[in-house]
Order: sequence, then C-alpha cells, then structure tokens
Amino acid sequence: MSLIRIEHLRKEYPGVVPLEDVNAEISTGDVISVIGPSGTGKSTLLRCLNRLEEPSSGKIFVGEEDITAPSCDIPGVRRRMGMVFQSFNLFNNLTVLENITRAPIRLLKVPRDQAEKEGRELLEWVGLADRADDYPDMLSGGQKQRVAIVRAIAMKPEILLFDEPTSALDPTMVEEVLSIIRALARRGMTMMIVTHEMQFARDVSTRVFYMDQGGIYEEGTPEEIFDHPSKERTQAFIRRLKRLEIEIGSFDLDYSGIMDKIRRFCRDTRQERPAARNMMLTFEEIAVQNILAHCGQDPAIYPIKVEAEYTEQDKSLTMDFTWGGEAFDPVIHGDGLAAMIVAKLSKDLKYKWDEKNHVRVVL
Amino acid sequence: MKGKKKSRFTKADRVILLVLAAALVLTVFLSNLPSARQSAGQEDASHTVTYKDYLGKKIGVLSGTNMEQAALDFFPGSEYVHFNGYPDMNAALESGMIDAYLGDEPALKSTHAAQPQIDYIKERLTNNSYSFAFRKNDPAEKKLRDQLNAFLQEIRADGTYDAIDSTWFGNDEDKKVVDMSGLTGENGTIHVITTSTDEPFSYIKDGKNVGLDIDVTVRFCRAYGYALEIGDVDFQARIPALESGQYEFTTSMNVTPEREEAVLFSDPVSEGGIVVAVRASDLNGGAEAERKGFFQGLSESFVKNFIRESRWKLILQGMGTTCFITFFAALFGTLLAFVICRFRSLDSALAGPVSDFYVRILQGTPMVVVLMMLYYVILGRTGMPAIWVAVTGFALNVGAYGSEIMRSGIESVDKGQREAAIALGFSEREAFYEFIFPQAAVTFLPVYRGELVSLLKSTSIVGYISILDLTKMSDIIRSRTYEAFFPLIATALIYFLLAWLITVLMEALLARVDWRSERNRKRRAGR
Repeated sequence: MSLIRIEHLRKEYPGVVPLEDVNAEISTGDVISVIGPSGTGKSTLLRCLNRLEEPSSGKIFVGEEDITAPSCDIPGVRRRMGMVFQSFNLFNNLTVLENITRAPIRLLKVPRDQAEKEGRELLEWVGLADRADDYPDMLSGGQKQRVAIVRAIAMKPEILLFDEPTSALDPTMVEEVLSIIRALARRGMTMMIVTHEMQFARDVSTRVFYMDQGGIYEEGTPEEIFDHPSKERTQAFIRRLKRLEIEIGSFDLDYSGIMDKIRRFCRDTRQERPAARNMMLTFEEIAVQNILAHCGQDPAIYPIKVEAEYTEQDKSLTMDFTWGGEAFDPVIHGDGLAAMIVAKLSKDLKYKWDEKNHVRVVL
Repeated sequence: MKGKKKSRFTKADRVILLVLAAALVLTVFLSNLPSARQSAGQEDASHTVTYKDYLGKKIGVLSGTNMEQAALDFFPGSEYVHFNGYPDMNAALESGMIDAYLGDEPALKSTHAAQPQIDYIKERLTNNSYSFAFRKNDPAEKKLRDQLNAFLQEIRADGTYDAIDSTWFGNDEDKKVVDMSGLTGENGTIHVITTSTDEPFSYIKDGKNVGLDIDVTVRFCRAYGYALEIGDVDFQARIPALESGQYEFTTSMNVTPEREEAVLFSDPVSEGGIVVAVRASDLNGGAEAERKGFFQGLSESFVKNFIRESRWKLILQGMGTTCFITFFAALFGTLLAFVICRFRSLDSALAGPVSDFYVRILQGTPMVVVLMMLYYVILGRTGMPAIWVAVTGFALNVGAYGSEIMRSGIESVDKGQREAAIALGFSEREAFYEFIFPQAAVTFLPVYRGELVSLLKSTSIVGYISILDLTKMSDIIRSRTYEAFFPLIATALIYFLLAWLITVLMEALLARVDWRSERNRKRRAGR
C-alpha cells in the first residue's frame, strides 16, 4: 500500500535547485536508504516530506491527503511522521521522560500516566531506563540520539524520517544508534533514512535511493545499487566508495585522520575484520617506516599517494604507493624488518621505478 | 519542603550591607569635621566685600534663569557652575565647591535666616521685578493675565499685599500658612506651574505648597472663582511646561527682555534683584558658625530633616511615587518588549526595520529628553497626568532595551529545538511558548534584572516633568533644611534597598523558571 507518493517535487533556493523533479512512492513497511554525494538534496527531500521545507512545486500525498494543498492541516500530518535529526534537537528544558511524553500528552491527549508508562517502556527498550529523570545535557551523543528516536516513536508515527542520524556522533557511538534503527526495521517500521553509513544502508534497507542531478537518479534493492549499479553516476559513486585515496603532502601527516579513513573504508566495503588492521600496518611500514623515515627530508618525494581498492569478486585488496624523488626500493634500500612484516602479511609485494617509485601490495 | 531555613541574604548581600554601613559612618564623620577651606574674602576686616572680590572665582548659577546672563555680565572670565535649585547651590557653597553664587535677594534673605553660615553681599547686581508668566498669543491667557493684574492692583490698594509680604518675609513661622478654602471652581480650574524649592515664594511646608506666590495665587483664584492645581518642576522646565498648554501660568520669574519675547508677564508680584551669595565666614572675617558635638549635631539634624513638619512623610510619598512609576513602567515595558520581540520575528519585510527603527530611536535619545518631549510636546495637550506620562516614557524605554535583551536570549536557544517541536506536530506558537521561551528566559532574566534596577534609578529624573518622586522630595527637604547630608543619604539608602528588592524578586522568579535550579529539582523529585 502506498503511504507516501511524491509527484514532480521541485525545490529551489535563490541560485540553487537541489531538487528538480522528484517522483517516488513509499509503501508501508519500506525501509528506504537515501544515499548520494553531498549537496544533492537528500536532506531537502526528507524535510519536504513533513513540510519543514516548503516545496517550490509538485505534490506530495500522505495516504490520500495532498500535503502541499493550502487547506492541509500540516501539524496533523507531522504528527503522523516522526523525525530524527542529525543534531538530536532534544528539548533542553525538559527531562528525558518529559521529552518523550510532552508531545503525546499535549497533541494526542494521551493521559499523563499512560504516556509516562509507555515512555518508560520505550526507554527500557533502548537501554536508558535509568536516565528518565536526567536532563539532555547530561547524556552522551549516542544516548541523546536514542532518546530522540524514542521521542519520535512515542507519537506512534506511520513513518520515521532519519536525517543523517549518526553524522554528528563520535565513531564509538554510531553502532548503538544504528542497532536501534535495525531493531525498528525488524519490527516492520516504515522508515526513510538519509545516511552515509553504506554498510548499514545495505543491511537495513529494502530499497535504496541514489540521489544525484536534482532527483532520484537510480533506485533499487541494496544489491542492485551497491553491487550492480546500472547507471554511470551510480557506478562512479559506488566505485569511489570502494576506493580509498590518501595524499601525504609533507612530513607532518595527519596520522589519526588517515587511520580513521582506513577504518571507514573497510567498514563501507564490508571487509573482514583483520583487513583494517592489515591496511594500517601496511601503511605504517611502507609509508612511515620506510618512505618517510628514509627520504622524508627530500621535498621531491611529495606528494606521496596511497590508493587502495577493493574488488568484491575475489575479495582482493590492493594498495598502491606512489612517490617521487630518487629510486628507493623499500625491500632493498629501506628498513628490512618493516619490509619483511609487509611481505609476510601480504599476498604480493612489488616495486617498480619509472621516474617515480611504485609499490603495489596485494593483501 | 525546605529542610533548612536559609537566610534571604546571600553572602554578597551581607558584604554589600556591611560596606554600606561602614561608608555611612565614615561619611557622617567626615561631614562633621571642620572644613579647612580658604577664605575667599579679605583678611582685612575693615574692607567692605563687594562682588568684585569674587571675579575669577567659581560662581554658581541657576540653570534656566537670568542669573546666567548676570554671571556673564558681572563675572566675565569666571568659572560658572550650573545648578538646578538653591539646595544644591547652598550645599556646594558650604562645602567649598563654589565660592559664591547668584541668587534672588528674597530667596537669599530666607536662606540666611535659616542658615546663618550663608550670607549675601547687600549690594544688588541688578534690580528685578518678579512676575507671573502666561502664554503669549492666546486670548484666554491674556484675559486671565488682565484679571490677575486687576487683582494685584486691588490688593496693593487695600493693604492686603503688605500683609502678605510681611508674613512671608517675616519671622513668625506660625503665620506662614496658605488658606486653601473657598476655591469654588465655578469658573474652571487654574493649573499653576511652580518650583517649590524657592523659599519664600514657593516651597513646601508640612507637606503643603506655601509661599508668597502661592498665597497670592490662592487669593486670586478665590476672588475669581477658580479651582487650583499646582504642578512642580525645576526652574528651567517652567517655560516649556507653560508652552505645552498644560498650565495657565507660572509663579514668579525674573522679568527680562528676552523672556518678554517668549511669555506674557503680569505686573510685578514682588520686587528684588540679583545678589551674590557667599559664605558668612567670608563676610565677617572667618568666624565659623558654632559647632555642636558630633552626636548632638547628628540627632538635631535628623530631627530637622525627617521629624519636623513630618518630613518623613514626604520621603514616603516620594518613595511611593518612585515605586509606582518603576512598577508600572516595568510591567508595561516588559509587555511592550515582548510584543516588539515577537513582532520582529514575524515573517514580514517590514517587521525587522520597523522594530529596529524604534529601538535605535529610543536607545539613541537621553531618557530625560524623551520624557520632556512626551510631556511638553506630545502628550501634554491630552491632559494625561504627569505620572502616567512618566510611566509611558519609561515603558517605551524598557520596551526598547528589553526587546533586545529578550531577543538575544531567544537567539541563544538553538534553532533545532524549534524544528523538532514543529516536526512533532506542535504549532509555531506552541513551540515558542513551550520550549523556546522558557529556555530564553533563563538566559535573559539575569540581564533583565539589571535593566529593571537601572529603570528604578533612572526614574530619579521625573522631577523634570513636575513629578514629586523620591529624589525630588529630598530636594524639597534640602531646600527647607539647608542640609544635604541626611536627605541624600536617606534617598541613596532607599534606592539601594529598592534595587535590592528588585534583585531578590528577580532571583526568585529565575529560580522558578530555571529547570536546573535547586528549587525545581527538589519539586520534581518530590513529585
């Protein structure tokens, strides 16, 4: 059954048109992930659905109701749609429990006792029963987002809209929020999720919208979009997801930033657990212990390029190191021990010189 | 319930009170030390002191009087210090801030009688007549002026005037009362503007307007069937008050050619001239007035300033007026501030610039000017009582400043909460009142408290528009007792206590609205 129908939705700001022509249908029980490069109107689409943004033209039907019609009871429509924000947006002047119960009590006229009982049950479910009387400023980011999800569910909405629910979170807190969204998916909750967590999108969704060029550029099942994208831009996007490019411009490198990138790359490409450790180790031994340690003072070697690519078919991962300066084979000229460690954990390790140094490691 | 009874005084309050008490004792002590000022007069007792001895000295003048011109004429090159009334000039002369001041002879006669340490050089600088002044180019005013002239002729002819004159220039205090009976008002009401720190012409005794001018005015009204209302402003505000149309005439003013262009004078009501007031010690070769013991002087002073003629009633009355203006200006001003603040947030191209304009105008104009404009130019003709004009003026001011304070508080609440509320299905209104404003209030209330305290203090300028507030009352007492110390200390102390009261009330309000406050945590836990 169609819950939401979007027809020729257009949204323009002075000078920008994030949404040119969007058409889509959302059925009860769908879990839709909305992915795509930044600036392609993913959040704008979501915010048009509950009229937080005013559509420039086009129609949106919720059930049979045209919510773009002037006569539409917008607050009434919003009560049927829950929304979870990137920055949580909890009410700071209310306790956790009050955050959850205030809207049902005021807007749905649920008796206070009942609202509080249900609120506590929901808090129990997300593991925050003991924080009911605390204020939001005493919670961690992950806890706040769990409360925000509960606040949206307490209104018993027909659909939940998530606007990048984990983007503002510390990496260690992402999972606690995602696991709740997964649990909601299992319960059959209809959801639309704008996210950059590709692995999560793939696991949880029934459908994926790839947004680009002012609309839904391609849509399909997670397998279709992530494994066999049919259109050019989708393919490029997915390919980029499977590639990692790191450039080191000077001797002072952002070590922890690079480690984060490797970790995220491994997660997004769904590699086995040791992959990230192996990649980090390879990076450390080749780039840091050899290239930087031996030739780091020579400005000619920069930039050092590190490219990694994952191929799903044979589950192989290659890392290419490219740098300038004089010929330098880490295995022969460099730190032998470091080179040995890499040789040991890799399937293949090759050095090539053609005006530049090349090292290819196959993990 | 509270487990432990906590004192209403915070630590800071206690420290402040202690410091204040110490300052009080110190001031009392210092003010009773013999002053070591230099005699401005001559050491040679045989020399007769003339005004020329004061050339180049510091000369006090009354703002908005012809003494300013006289000072220029007779004391070229001297430093002039401007005052709003005799009490200030007397205090300044006594303390050595100025060396002489220019005053009207009759006023100085009274001053010297009550305060022997102040005397004046008998030689007049100018001869003046003092007349009542009316609006020009107004037939009704001219008619009234002619009635008054006829009345003056009459009482001069039958000797009544001489009796009045000897009463107010005489020494018999018991005779110095004005009989207010018999004002029937069958021909309407006369509104007279006066300056009641101008003994013997117009001053306040036993809480009533008295003086030669008042006596003449009352007799005139009785004879011509008018009722009488008396308004009270500083000297320099009298002509604007007259021109605003709220008053029919003012009591005695020096007649000068310049003024004759602006107003219509009656025949002289009394005669005199400008003389130079100096310290008595300068005239009689340095003999100080007799000094009393410290505590005896203090208690006599206290009795004189507060007990005699029930002057404490004036203080109370002034305090009531100050509280009244502050309370209603705070109330209406806060409502106005809130309305402006909400108006600004409207989705209209006009809302921003209009409210900005309003706020800039009021922030950029001195309060006293706003007040005088309201009273003498804008609201004057509507007959609105001065006290409500003051409430209006201060409310406008609080509205301007308060709206900015509220706005900054509202803007400090992150926008996401509004969106979250809207997304849940609350209306904009509900989102604002339920979530945004309560948080904004906690941010802006401490700043708002400061605004209200400064409102309280700034009400001390309402004397400009004929309101007898706390400050004005202390001026009036000073003009009668010729002492600055007690009236000023009492005034300062009362303002301080009122400000402290505002602070306490606002703290209580803050504790009520702040969800993080001890009070609300306990309340919640008890639920």
